[in-house]
Amino acid sequence: MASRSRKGGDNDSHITHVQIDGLAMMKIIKHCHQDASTPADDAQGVLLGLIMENKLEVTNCFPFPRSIDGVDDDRYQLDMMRLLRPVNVDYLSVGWYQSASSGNYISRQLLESQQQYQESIEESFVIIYDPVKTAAGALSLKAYRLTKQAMELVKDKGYFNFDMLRNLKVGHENMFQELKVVIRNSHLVNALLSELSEVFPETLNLEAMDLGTAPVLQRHLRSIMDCTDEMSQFHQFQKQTVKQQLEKTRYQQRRNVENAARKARGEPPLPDEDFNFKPIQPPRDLEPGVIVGGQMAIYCQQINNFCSQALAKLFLVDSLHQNSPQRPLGQ
Amino acid sequence: MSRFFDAGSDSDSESTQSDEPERFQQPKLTAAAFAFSDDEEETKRVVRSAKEKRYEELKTYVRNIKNFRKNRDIGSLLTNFEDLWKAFTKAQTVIQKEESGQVPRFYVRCMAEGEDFINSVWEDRNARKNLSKVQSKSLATLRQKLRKYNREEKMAAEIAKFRENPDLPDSDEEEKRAEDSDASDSDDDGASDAEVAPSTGTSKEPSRSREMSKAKDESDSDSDDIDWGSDSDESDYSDDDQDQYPSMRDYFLKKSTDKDDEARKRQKKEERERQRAEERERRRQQEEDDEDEDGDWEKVKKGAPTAKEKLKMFAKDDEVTLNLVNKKYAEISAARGKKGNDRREMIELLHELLTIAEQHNMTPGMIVKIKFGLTAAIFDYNLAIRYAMKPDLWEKVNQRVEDLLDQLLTTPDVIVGENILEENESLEEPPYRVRGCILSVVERLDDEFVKILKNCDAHSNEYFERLRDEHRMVRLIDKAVQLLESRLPKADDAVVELCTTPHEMCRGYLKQVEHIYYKVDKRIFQQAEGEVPADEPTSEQEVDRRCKYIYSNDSTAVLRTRAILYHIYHHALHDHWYEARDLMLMSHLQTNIQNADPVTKIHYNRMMVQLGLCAFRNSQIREAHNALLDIQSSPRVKELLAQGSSQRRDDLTQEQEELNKLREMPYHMHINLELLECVYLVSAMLIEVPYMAAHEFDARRRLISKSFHYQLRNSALKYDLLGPPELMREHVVAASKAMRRGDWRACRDFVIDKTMNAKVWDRFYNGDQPRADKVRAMLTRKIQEETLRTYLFTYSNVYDSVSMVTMSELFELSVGDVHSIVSKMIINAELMASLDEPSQTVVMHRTEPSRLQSMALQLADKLANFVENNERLLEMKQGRDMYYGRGGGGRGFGDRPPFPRGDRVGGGQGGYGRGGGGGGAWGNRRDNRGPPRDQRGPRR
Repeated sequence: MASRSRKGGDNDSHITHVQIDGLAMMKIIKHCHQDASTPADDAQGVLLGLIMENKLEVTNCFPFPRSIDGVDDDRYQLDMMRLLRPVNVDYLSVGWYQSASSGNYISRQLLESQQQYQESIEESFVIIYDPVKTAAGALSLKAYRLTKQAMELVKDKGYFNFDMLRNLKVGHENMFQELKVVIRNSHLVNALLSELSEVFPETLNLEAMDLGTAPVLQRHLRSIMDCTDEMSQFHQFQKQTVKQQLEKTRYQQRRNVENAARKARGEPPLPDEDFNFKPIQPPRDLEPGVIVGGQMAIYCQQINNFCSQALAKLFLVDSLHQNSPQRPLGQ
Repeated sequence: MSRFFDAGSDSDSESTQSDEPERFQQPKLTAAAFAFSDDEEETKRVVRSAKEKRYEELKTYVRNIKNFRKNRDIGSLLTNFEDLWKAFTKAQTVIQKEESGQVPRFYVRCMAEGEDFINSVWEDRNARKNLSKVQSKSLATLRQKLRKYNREEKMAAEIAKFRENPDLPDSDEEEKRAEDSDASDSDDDGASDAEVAPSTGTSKEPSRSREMSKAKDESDSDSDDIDWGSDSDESDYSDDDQDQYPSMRDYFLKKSTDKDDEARKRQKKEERERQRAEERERRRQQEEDDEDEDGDWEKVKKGAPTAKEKLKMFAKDDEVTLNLVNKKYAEISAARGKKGNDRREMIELLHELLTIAEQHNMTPGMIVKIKFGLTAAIFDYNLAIRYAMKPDLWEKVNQRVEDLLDQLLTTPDVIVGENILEENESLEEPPYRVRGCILSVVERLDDEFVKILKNCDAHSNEYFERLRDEHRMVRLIDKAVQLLESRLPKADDAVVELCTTPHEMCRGYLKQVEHIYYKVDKRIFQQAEGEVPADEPTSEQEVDRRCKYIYSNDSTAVLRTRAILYHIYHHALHDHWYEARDLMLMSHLQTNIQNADPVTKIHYNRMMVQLGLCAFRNSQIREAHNALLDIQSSPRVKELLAQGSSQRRDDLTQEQEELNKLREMPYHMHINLELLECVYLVSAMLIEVPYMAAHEFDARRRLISKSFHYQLRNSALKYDLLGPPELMREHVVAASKAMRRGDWRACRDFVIDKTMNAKVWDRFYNGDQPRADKVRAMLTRKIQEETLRTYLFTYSNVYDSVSMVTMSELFELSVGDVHSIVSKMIINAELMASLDEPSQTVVMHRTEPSRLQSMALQLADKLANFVENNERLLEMKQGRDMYYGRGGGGRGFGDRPPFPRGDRVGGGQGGYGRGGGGGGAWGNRRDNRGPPRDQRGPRR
């Protein structure tokens, strides 16, 4: 699922899709699940691979160590790549991955690191892996890269600069470009899998049929609420700015009138600059509106997805109910 | 210390002087005195002794000065010179008479020599450098003073004369006297004799020995420290005088043959009396305030000569008439408030005047007038208003005022009034009219009393001692009011302006109420219980009567406001909740208390707090909470109630702090703050915990009591592991937690246990146990009820139905009570349930929104808010144009409902409810929550 490419945004890259090796994917999943015990910090790692015309092949990956003091991340990355080269692993860093439960991955940090990656390697992208969703029965792996405008925006740290946002025509919907993810296994693996399926016949997988919707929805709602609060804060900031703007215009007008009067009296005009208006600094921990907006959009999308699935499940169960009232399912 | 005694070094105080260590070092002079007095005629002894005394005094100082000059003890020199001048001024009269104004030569010599000496020391720079700081300072002072003194016209002439032929021996008598003094010098301290002899170049050796032997004879015959006979006679004499003064006075007056003599005598007597009083005063003063010593000393010195002159002027008149006394009074009181006027002196003078006036049977009018002046003078004694009077000064003034009041009460023909002008006063014949306001005096006295109380440590015995005086204060006020009442205008009174005005009456009553309102009258409680007959007068009626008078007669809002506040306080104190509340509501005080003066605000706060406590005792928990909320939500409870200040107030200036200090209540009127806080927290708990349980997932849950939540949070944050509660707050927090669990027994045990009893509950009704027990019972009952409610809110979702019988067993309430509580909850749409009468069960409807639903609602609210804000923002941005007159567009935009309002959201809810009833109930709830949304008012 979730492997369709976004149409929005000028597709400035010739890369159309990402092809990820089964092995690399398994490693990502393993790492993320292991690190999921500490939800505060997301698991991160580097993807290695190569660029093949219009697709990016991810053949291997290695995790970043959980932030240990004194270890320089960049240094570690370079060392790892140097060490992997002798063992014949692709050593081109094509991107990085990050775990994020229930889609709360859009943040300034993500934007900034992705911007750095893209700066150095134009084709690089980020893979977001959602362990929670995977545990619920659906593998969730998404590949993103920043659009051109978003690159500009992040580079200049112009999140709060409305003019810039307007000029670049950046909204939360065209910040990211989603890439199609294709999972590819080598023929040997495919052969092994088919052999294994005969040895271990497939059991009935009912995980996906979980009818408990409340916890997931609640989690999402809570997240959206947090976002809303943040938006309100952002709002506040905007309001102040607007107020100041108004003040400024009024001040300037007064000054103009005054200057006109002075001119009439033959006095030198007062200086025009506005000395007592400092631009209001956004609070430090305030996430910019674009980011929060994007985050909210993702939540909403997820809720939509989830609900449509849940509804389908409910209808299914309902009809099962009617057909066999003796043995209700799922209870 | 000794300096005080030096000032009054008269024969009278000889005995006290001998106590002083410094005195011992100084030579006694009696021998010389006797040697001299021998030469004079016996008949004129009295008069002579006066002269003698002065001269001798002078000479002591002169000799001392000589000695110190030799020792170069500048400090002592300065004091001695000062004493000398003082003594000389005193002696002035004697000199005037005896020597027709001729200044004694030895005195002039001393001055001249002193100046020379000082100048020489001053010139000698090296030596000056070696002087200590104190010494050099006194040197400078002395030099300046001496120069100034010597440059005075008379003195300058004398000194010039002296300088013409300094070696000329002093005039006969004086010379002899000088020698005498020397003789006695050698007599008493022989050691210094060798030194003294060469220095006194003027004295002659041969005559000295003669004198010496003579002196010795005398000193043998009389022991040194006995006063001269004449003087001891006199002191006895004057003691007698005090008893039979009038007759003595008459005696003097009639027999005015030797006028001069008698005048002098009288004057002396007066003076001695005055001095004695002064001495007494000074001694007392000394004991009390050592720090004031210097200042007082200075003032006395300045004041003494003028006072003396005045007295002399008055005393010289042979006839003491009313006019004269009046003039005298005016003279004395004219000095009031002037700079350099000695306040103590003034008190003494007025005192004197009063005695004289009484002796001469002056009209009561005059006496009252003087008494007024006297009390005012005593009040004036303390200049700094923020410091308390000395208690015994207060005592004194208290007696004075009482005396005055008694007189006014007994002599109804004396009319006192503020509005009587000085010119309109009539002192000669009745009806007397005197300017003055007895009420102000009493009020002032009361203020001073409060100040004294505040000045003592509230936990000391001293405080109790002082507090004992309160009944005297009350008595005084009562008398004043009685006086005022007796002068109330009657129908037939012609001169209305001389009667008590309603305003004065109000003030008087208010003062009375001020002393009653905060006291608990047990009879009122007993009356309510029928233990005391209903017709027995209680403080309640007293307050009531006076306050009502004020309500109807007061023209200024201030007095009425105060009266209302005291009245409510008094009601609240005696559990008359409804009266207190009604009065409160009728007065509309809340609306304009913001504009009142700080003191009224303080009284308002006190009243509010008392009202809250009263409500609590009367199980009006919500009212109690509301009354206490304002006070308790501020961190500065102490300041709001004027009961001291909390520690961290750096933002106040010194001045403000002192003002705050000034407004503080005396300790016995304090309201126990811990009790207050506990009552508040417990009320908050009883309201807030069920509310919290009911609105667990409510987005718009308001905090009813911030400080209660603060306590809750605090305890959760501070401690990882909660021990058993120790402080009062911890108790309440623990109780709240128990209540949330639905465990009412634990809750009760936390709220009412030994420590809490000791700290809080026993303090109700001043520790009247049976009544405090009633409060406890009430509290237990409340806890049961509220816990039941909390329980139902919290756990209704796990029940399909609950038996009321089980509930009543669980909460030890009767089934009827449970029934009523549950019904109330259902009616208020707090609990979605219905009662099943036959089975006595509560059937839950299960219409409470699930967590998810409530969250969705919350989100919807938030988003609606957000959108609204966004629109406003947009409007603001466009509003730039609006400022130039295009407002219409903006408004139209704003009027469009931007997002589903309450109704639509409410409609949506119906879907969640299972069953129609539930949906309806939901609708109600949304409506209940409607108002805040509308209150946001017109959107712009």
